[in-house]
Amino acid sequence: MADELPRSDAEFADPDAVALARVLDGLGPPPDADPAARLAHERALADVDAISRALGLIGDTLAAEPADAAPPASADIGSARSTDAGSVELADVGSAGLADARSTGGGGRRASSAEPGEYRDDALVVPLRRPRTRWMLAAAASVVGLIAVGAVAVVQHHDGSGSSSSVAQQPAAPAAAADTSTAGPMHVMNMAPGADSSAAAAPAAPAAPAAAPAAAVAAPAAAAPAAASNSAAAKASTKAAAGSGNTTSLKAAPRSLPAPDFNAAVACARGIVQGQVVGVTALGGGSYRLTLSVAQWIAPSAGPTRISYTVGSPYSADDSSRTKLAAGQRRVFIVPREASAQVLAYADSTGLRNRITQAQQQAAGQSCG
Amino acid sequence: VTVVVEDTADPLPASGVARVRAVLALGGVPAHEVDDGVQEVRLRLLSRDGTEELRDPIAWAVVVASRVAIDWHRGQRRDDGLRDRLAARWSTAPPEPAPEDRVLALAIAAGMDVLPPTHRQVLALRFYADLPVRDIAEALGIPEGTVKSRLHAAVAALRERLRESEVI
Repeated sequence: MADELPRSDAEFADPDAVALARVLDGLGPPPDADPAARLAHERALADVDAISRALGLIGDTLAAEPADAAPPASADIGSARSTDAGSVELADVGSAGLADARSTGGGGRRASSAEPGEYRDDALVVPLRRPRTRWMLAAAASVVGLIAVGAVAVVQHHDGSGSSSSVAQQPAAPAAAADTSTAGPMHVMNMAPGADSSAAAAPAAPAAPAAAPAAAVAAPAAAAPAAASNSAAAKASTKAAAGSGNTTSLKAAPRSLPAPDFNAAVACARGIVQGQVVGVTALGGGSYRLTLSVAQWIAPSAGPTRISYTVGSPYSADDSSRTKLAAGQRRVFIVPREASAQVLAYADSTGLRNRITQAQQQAAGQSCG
Repeated sequence: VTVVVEDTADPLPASGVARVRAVLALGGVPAHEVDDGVQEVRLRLLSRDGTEELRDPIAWAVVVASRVAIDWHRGQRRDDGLRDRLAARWSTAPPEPAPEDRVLALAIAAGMDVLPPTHRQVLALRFYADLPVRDIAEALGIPEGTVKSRLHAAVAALRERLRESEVI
């Protein structure tokens, strides 16, 4: 059959593609179709029917979506979408957690493996560039790490397989990105991704206290979002926490979302506005609704005078610090494309406007994917 | 010739509002902007040349809605994703559809999320609004072949996604 088709149209050498084209044209299988072609036709019919039904269901469901529908699980589901394994278990305890949060920006996230995609949002968010706070946290984490050392061996003994599975459940935190060069002298980071960390985790805990400050200082504040967590370090920390049963370190651990890259955030922003925060509401699941009173739309060039966005953090970031979003703040807000990302907020200035314009010009003609 | 609508105060027939909302949503317009989109459709209905009779006002409205969605995408904004919205809606608005339909719809929604806006547009018009290819081409002012090729590419991409996710 393929021989009868134009050679130039390679797409239609595929019986499935031929059958799909005929189905979409409302045609039946060719009279002289062989059994394989007829089968392909039936498959195409069934698939198109399924797609049609699904679109009907999606359309009808979303037609009834309230205007103020906040995707309560936006970030959660978004994560589940990227992982589809459901849960992500990232520990942010102790110095390894600090390093992790610095290097990935995502280390602060914690989700229960029993509740896929559900992030707990109870940890403290720490400004990225406040050395004193950072060192204090590192010290606190170190103490916790030392306390936990005694328990680590026991935990590892009982939890060897569990740690492996937690790695398997972290496709959203690609193992590829363990950047040991910037994360400080944490030799545990060098463990091969996916390898069982039971053995390696043991030295991790005692190593962590010393490693924390170096890691925290070395890691860039605005790490690339794609940078992966150090799963081994995270696991080691998890085990330490589990072993000690100490929750203080959980509260002390920083929760930081990646500070979006300025140019990328501008290029694909959901909105860039100069205005004032009206309110920030926690939606649960690590999502927040940020409502802004808009004095001026920068991108797009026009819009409503009040707008709400779902964002992934109650904090805004600029080039060097993070600030808790609060009603009354006047800034230029850059709302990144991803609902799980944090907002960039800057004091308005000619320099900032020029920077935005430059970023937009650089991104002109490019797709946000 | 006068355009007859169900409610002279509303150029958009009441029976078409839900379909317009659905096409806007399928086109990627986020929930909080769907109402604005419906208003935009109404405005375009009001501002159209009234001397030409509309054969099917609802069909015309959904095509306009699909264009509004495309315009929205051109504004470089992005929604939260159909899949997320669908799951969120079902999580707060039971009853849910049958599990197998839910899985299928979520997979399709995820597939729609990564399709180009023009492909989403023809999918919504063809399979949600049930418009024939010829009418879609005429309404959008593009050749039938273009509609077919977009439809083919979009359906093929969705099929591939369904296979990869082992939904079909």
